[in-house]
Amino acid sequence: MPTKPGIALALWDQGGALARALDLDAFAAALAKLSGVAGLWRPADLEGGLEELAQAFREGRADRLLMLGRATPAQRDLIWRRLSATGLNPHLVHWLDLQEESALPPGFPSEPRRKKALLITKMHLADLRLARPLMPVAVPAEPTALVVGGGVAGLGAALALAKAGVEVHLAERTSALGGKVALLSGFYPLGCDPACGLSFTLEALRATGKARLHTLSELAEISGGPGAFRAVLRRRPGHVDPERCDGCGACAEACPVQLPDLAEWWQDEPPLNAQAFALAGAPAKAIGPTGNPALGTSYRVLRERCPEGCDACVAACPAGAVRLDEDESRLEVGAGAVILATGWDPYPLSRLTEYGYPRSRRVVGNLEMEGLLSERGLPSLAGLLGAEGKPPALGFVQCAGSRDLAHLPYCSGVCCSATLKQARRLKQLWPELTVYIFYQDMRTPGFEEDLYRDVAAMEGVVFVRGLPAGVREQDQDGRLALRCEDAYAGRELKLSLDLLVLAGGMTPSPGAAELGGLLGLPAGPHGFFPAHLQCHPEESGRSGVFAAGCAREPMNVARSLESAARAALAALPFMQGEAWLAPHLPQLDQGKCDQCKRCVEECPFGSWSLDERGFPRLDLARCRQCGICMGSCPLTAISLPNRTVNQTAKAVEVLGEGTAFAGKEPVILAFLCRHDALIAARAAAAAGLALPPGVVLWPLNCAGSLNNALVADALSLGVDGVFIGGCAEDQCHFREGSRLAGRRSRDLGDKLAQMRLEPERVRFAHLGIGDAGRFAELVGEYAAALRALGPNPFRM
Amino acid sequence: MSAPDRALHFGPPPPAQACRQCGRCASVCPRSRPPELSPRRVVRLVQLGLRDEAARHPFLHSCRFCGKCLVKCPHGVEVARLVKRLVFEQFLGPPG
Repeated sequence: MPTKPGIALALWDQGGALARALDLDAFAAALAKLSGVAGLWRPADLEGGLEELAQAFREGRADRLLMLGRATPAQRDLIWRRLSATGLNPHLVHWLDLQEESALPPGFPSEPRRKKALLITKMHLADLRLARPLMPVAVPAEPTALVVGGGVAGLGAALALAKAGVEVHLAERTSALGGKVALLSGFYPLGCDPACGLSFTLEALRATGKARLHTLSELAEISGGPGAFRAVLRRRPGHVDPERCDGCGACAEACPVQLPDLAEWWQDEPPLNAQAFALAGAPAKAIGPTGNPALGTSYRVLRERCPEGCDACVAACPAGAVRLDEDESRLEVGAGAVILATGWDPYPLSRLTEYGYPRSRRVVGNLEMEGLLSERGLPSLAGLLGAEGKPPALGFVQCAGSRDLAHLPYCSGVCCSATLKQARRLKQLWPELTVYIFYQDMRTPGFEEDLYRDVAAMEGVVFVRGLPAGVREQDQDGRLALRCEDAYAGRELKLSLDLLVLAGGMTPSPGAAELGGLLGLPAGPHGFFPAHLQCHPEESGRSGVFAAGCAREPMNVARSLESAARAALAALPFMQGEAWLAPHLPQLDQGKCDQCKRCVEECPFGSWSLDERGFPRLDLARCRQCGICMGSCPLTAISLPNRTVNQTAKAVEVLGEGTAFAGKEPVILAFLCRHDALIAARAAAAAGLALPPGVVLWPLNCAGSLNNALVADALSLGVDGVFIGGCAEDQCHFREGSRLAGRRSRDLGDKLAQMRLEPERVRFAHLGIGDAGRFAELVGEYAAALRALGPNPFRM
Repeated sequence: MSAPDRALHFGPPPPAQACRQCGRCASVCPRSRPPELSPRRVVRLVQLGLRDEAARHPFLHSCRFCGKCLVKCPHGVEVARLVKRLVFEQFLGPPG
């Protein structure tokens, strides 16, 4: 007569820890008698035993497996290979290393040890009994990417994706591609022209035929989720058709408008380089390019500067590219993933009032210095340096507005090398020039040290350990007077300089905050997009949205390109036609839900929204499957498959019935995050550290996935204390889980008071993965505190 | 002694450890005459744990407590307050 398939129990004691700790025969006999168990396999040799075990699955006597004891990784592989061949679902197999689970506390007599081991086995059986076979879930993933920002990081990411066969829409706010890098006169350390690398990238990007470059375009709206974003790009009118314009310049020649300087071209941008370009004396018309011609055409019209009725440019354009009546347009695009490469802006140096920027034309920012060092700017620079009869001298102020609590508290990491690069170029152009570099620390990591060494060895480059606190213009010749103390000499220097360069830092570009709001990204440090720096630096906090380049944090060009490639690689799975998701997607029982929206609010990834009836609806691809919603739900209406509240409740019930195993010792149920705290606890048990004999470990996907109902359950069933272990507060893999778990366990006080229980019966702790010793200490202390409290009045 | 001065004398001393010796205080100080007379030297002595030497430093006689150093410090070190506290320690003895 066919019976219902049961759970196969297998015992494999690699290393003999079990046999040393308890009477294995008696234990095996007790296991075999457990209900719902299809049989106990205790093979003498693994190969033979496995065959027998596989037979049970093939014949349908067993449909799930609890593997007890310890196996080497190679043995585990072998076991799994054999059993998966029988069609066994991986989600129906549990591995239970009884020693690691602190089932065999040293110093505990053999008999209660066996009871504890049996009890823990029964808890896991209760959990496994309710497990279901799970399969990965496929969601549609459109093979299109949206890259926001056309600087070096955006272009790099776009190229990587286009080469991988993905269609790319790239939206750039200005009319020119290349971003800030296009404004540089040279890269460090080689000093090569950035236009070379950028045009190479653009060429390659165009050659793929996969990229559409939208200039003057911003992200206006976005909906949908990973795999299926719908974005609306808003294009401001540039009045020149980029498809037709070839940048011949006939329009600018014909334009009758003469602007006082080029500053107006950057009116919708920060006053970037305006001064340098004005110094360079380029003709400013109402129509003209905004970017480097080597990177393609970037012509646009300043329409508000056009005289009424004038259409000289239209008539002059041989390509018929000018569209004076053009309006704002909108374009809807689909995308599987979004890459944010919004870049950086220079810190507004006008806030450093003591240096007289931009009042004095002899004080410039480091990005403006790049403009002055370009071919177009050199004549202006020469004019500034050539004071009559005086030896030319120039100074750089490092950390201008950086590493300063009143300005930018962080280090931008590129200004030191940028200054060294500029100093080297200046000395090549004007060997007689004296260059002073005022610094507090020079930061040239890695091979950038070579640049530092080269520049330091140059005659006439003086490094002054000390920052000037201000500067004033001398009356006679407009040169700058500056006072500064050098730390090493203990001397005050009084200097007269032709030009002062402020090495200012990087801030996130102003569009970034708006974009962050649009995408619902969590606010990051200093307005950059936050990252899980060690594990997932490209991580934006929202699935399917990745940060690259200086949108993430200040970085140099080489690192920007690396980060772009990394972001592209991380985005790729969302653009492969279909994306495969792990099967632990939370499920909502609508019958239980009272639409309180707690899950919507507490999900750190914004995965839940409300459907038209007011019920929470999950965006499958956004979800990180942490279970924080499961922990948040006051009605336990949400559960992760195979990690359900019900499964844990059954296990807790088993524990409640078996509290007698510990004798007079307090029974502690330790709910532990499996990323850090559980690993620490298992290491403590495996190393034989003195853990209280009554402690029982239970894994959580994240501390935040623990529902308070389970804690109350455990206490009402007679468990003496519940210990909850989460990661360090700022290190949670799911951002908020550990913080939420801490808060929720504190909020339990009222509930416990209702139950006439002491609040000390719940304890929360942050534990790192290496905190085995600390775990032993903490539960030891906790057990002592619980002993002092006396047994749980609900204990049977 | 004014109330803020009393608080400065009896309270915890202003910390000096955040100083990176950037020298802005010395550059802005109207009374700085390096190498002997410089606020940066005083802060450095405190950082090195040579508090007695700092409290005997001749700069303590020069300082007029204008507070420019305190405003300019990028790392939040209250240089002028620290100097004043050292003056108290020199003339009034250690607090308490």
